[in-house]
Amino acid sequence: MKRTPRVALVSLAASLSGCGAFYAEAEQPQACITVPPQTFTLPTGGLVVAPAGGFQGTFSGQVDLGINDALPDFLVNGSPDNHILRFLSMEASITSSSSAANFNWLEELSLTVTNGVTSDQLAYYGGGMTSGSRVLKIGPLNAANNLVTFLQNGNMVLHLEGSVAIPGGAQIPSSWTASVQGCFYAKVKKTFQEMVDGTK
Amino acid sequence: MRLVTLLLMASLAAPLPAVAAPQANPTAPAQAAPARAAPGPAPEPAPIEEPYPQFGLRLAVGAPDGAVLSFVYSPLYWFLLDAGFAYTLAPGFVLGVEFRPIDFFISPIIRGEYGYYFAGNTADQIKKWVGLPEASWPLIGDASYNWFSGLVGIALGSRRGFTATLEGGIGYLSLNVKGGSTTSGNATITVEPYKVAAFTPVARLSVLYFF
Repeated sequence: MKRTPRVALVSLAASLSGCGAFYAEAEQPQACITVPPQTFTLPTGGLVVAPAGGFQGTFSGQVDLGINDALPDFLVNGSPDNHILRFLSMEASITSSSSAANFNWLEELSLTVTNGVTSDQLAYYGGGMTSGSRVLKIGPLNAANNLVTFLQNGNMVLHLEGSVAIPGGAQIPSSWTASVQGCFYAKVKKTFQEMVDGTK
Repeated sequence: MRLVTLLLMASLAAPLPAVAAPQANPTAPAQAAPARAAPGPAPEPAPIEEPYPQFGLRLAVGAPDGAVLSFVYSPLYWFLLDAGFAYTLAPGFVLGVEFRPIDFFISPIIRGEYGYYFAGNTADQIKKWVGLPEASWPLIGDASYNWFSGLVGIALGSRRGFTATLEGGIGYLSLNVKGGSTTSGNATITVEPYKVAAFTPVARLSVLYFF
């Protein structure tokens, strides 16, 4: 009879004192950020129509999704093991005001994340879209990517680089305008000790 | 003189040795015992033990329970089932199963419980706790939560009447939040329903009355 209450009290004390063992974990399967239409200039070389052998060129641009402002600090600050922000997809939809009516001209597109110090390629498109498509959607190259380290070390920017291939006789668009949506997965885990201390 | 009177009264009040110990003479014939016992006073019937009350009413406060008013059913003195109405940031219910292995003034308790709270003011509180800017509040939709917990504790009082209990333990809490959409700057942010889980200490203080 004496032993049972003692075991109960010890269990209670152990559970209450183990703040490091207790945790809270939040998981967001998908959060999407859609920015207003962005315009990207294409190198036409002064041409309006592609010559007989076709036209090829490259272009680049940046997309600032404003993630840094959208995320609360507790999601970003802490160990990358317990703070995950994963790129899921980027979708660009040609708007009606775009010079390029569709993505027929697009040969390749690479999406890279950078914070000015380091960079990492997130996604790649190498062709295969249906002719006349107005929507481009690309997924991650590495499903286990984590953008938190980029956010911790500065303002994260998504960098686009692509190539254009237009068959001879076709019109060369001077730019393309699209609304851009980036989707992300987020997960954060904090122990009660971290919450109490406010250290991470 | 007075001492002799007291001794005499005490000897008369004491049970007779012959009745109390009929086996004193093992060589006596077996049929002699009933004949000798017959003239003695009839033995008192064994007291009938009053059954333990099976129903009770409990008021509890705790975390994450909040305040709970529950009905208790106890088919066995050491086994209790309860179901109650609860309220914290929202209304809900709590179901429990409890073991009280010892019927004594102080008794250990082993308890398991499940609770569910409907969407109420939980989302509003989360917005303040998390410290999100007001513009992002639409991203936190209605939130409900549920949990499982295991507790140990002590009960003080009578199993046949009133007891007070103090319990502590561990629990797994799951907060289910509906998503939403908002505009921040020039960007539109849309979030899907999400989940917050916590492995957390739990504590509970209750009073229980059996009737």
